[in-house]
Amino acid sequence: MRSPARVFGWLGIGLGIAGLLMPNLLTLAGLRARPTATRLRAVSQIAIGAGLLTSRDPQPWLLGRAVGDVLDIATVGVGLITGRSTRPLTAVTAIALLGGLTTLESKAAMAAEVGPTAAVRDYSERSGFNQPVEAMRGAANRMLQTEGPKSPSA
Amino acid sequence: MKALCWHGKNDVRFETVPDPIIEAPRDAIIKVSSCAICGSDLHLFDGLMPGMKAGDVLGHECMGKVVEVGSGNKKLKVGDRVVVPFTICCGECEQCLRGNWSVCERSNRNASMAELAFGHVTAGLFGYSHLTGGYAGGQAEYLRVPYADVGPIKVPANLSDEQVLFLSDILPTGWQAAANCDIEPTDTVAVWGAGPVGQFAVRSAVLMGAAQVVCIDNVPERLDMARAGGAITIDFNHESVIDRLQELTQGKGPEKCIDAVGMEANSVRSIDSMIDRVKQAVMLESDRPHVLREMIYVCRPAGTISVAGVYGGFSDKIPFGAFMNKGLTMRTGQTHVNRWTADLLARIEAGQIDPSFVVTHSVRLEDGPAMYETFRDKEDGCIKVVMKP
Repeated sequence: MRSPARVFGWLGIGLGIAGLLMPNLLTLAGLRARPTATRLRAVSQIAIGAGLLTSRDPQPWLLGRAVGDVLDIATVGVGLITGRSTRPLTAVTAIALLGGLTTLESKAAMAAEVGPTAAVRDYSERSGFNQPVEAMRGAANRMLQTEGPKSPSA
Repeated sequence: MKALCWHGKNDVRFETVPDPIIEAPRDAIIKVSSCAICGSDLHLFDGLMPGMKAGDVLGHECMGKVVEVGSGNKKLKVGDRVVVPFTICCGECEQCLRGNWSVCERSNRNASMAELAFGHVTAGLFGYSHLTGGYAGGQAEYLRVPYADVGPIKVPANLSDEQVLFLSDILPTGWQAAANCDIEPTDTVAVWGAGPVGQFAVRSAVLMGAAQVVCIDNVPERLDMARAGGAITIDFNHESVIDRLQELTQGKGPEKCIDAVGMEANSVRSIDSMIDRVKQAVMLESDRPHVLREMIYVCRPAGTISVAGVYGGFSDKIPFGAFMNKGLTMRTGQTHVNRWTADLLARIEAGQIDPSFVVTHSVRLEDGPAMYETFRDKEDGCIKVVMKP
């Protein structure tokens, strides 16, 4: 699962650097983001990107990217609904792109966790009991009744 | 001697360390014949438990032969074959005398650390951080056992290591998890987690007479093994745990719920566990308590929740309103191993249960570092690793 993590890592770092160098870029695109907020988001993008590129376990960082993108969608959506976006079409496009990214990031995170889908070994005979399961149901109580409780103290 | 030593997150090494020596009159030195990797060792491997130091010897499931005995130890003699419980108990404090072995008041050498973290001291444990005493563990050629006239269980020669080794931890842990449920013949017992403790909890619940036992996991081999032990299984990759449990209990919910998962629940199969995973990574939360939340939600009102899985610190968003209003009971704790071992050894000798069914990998101690990864990643059908020094 390192390849998707690397792609998203470099993407985050690239977007983060762009946000730091051009904090007014989103405003020019009609999304009315405050430069300070854009810079903070850029820093978080770079941090998560660095985590994705350096961590042995990319899963929490992928989930972090997905959560960040959901927050971005909410921010742009609120701007669209309240009429603060000067270019609604750009805002809708941004939401669509972020939605796609969020889906891909979530899928990559899930793929990083999912284990084997089919058994590689057969343990279906390993009951640990010396009789069929139904014969063993309640056997502990029967043993106690016939032999008395074992002392819990050492 | 050779031992498996912790050197940081994902870093376990097979290396040479000083041989243990008798430090107190009640001590004994054990030459380890078999030891195992426990699921809770993975919390150390994953860097989630505080209080570890580089070079600490790991392991709290082991057995072997006594090779040296302190002058004040009247219970053991050289040559005795013993299983060593993971809890270290003095046998004399108020808690030990009450049978609450895992909260022994004297065996934790770092009592002040434990008091700071947990409010009160708990027992010393082998190979499980300096919060629990900083004792060297049993994934080694030799082990120093403090208070060795209390904990170690003498085992007969006619039983194999694999049949008795798990008296050290996971067998009594699964048993206590079920015993804490006070199982009635009409009960449905739901067990989250089909790892080694979950497997023993399933069999314990069956032996204690539960009407039906349900086991929840997403690893095919583990679900196979749980079915072999009498459980109905739920694969949460493919079906809703809550819907299926409701269906199996005619909408009433299981009367008894057992958590055999603990602080590292699967982190991508639900929104709450995804959020937990992110918070854990940035240290806003130490544990991932998805199973606790799900158990509280689905448990039948007036039911019991038994927590055997290990939690280390702080868990967020526990639905305590549901817990209170449904009148649930929660019972938990590290296992009071010596409370159960005489009874369980008798059951093994009687053939009622053969714990060796859970062993899937038997390797040399030097293969331990690689097996930590295999076990963590649930690869190659790995459920339980036994190592031979």
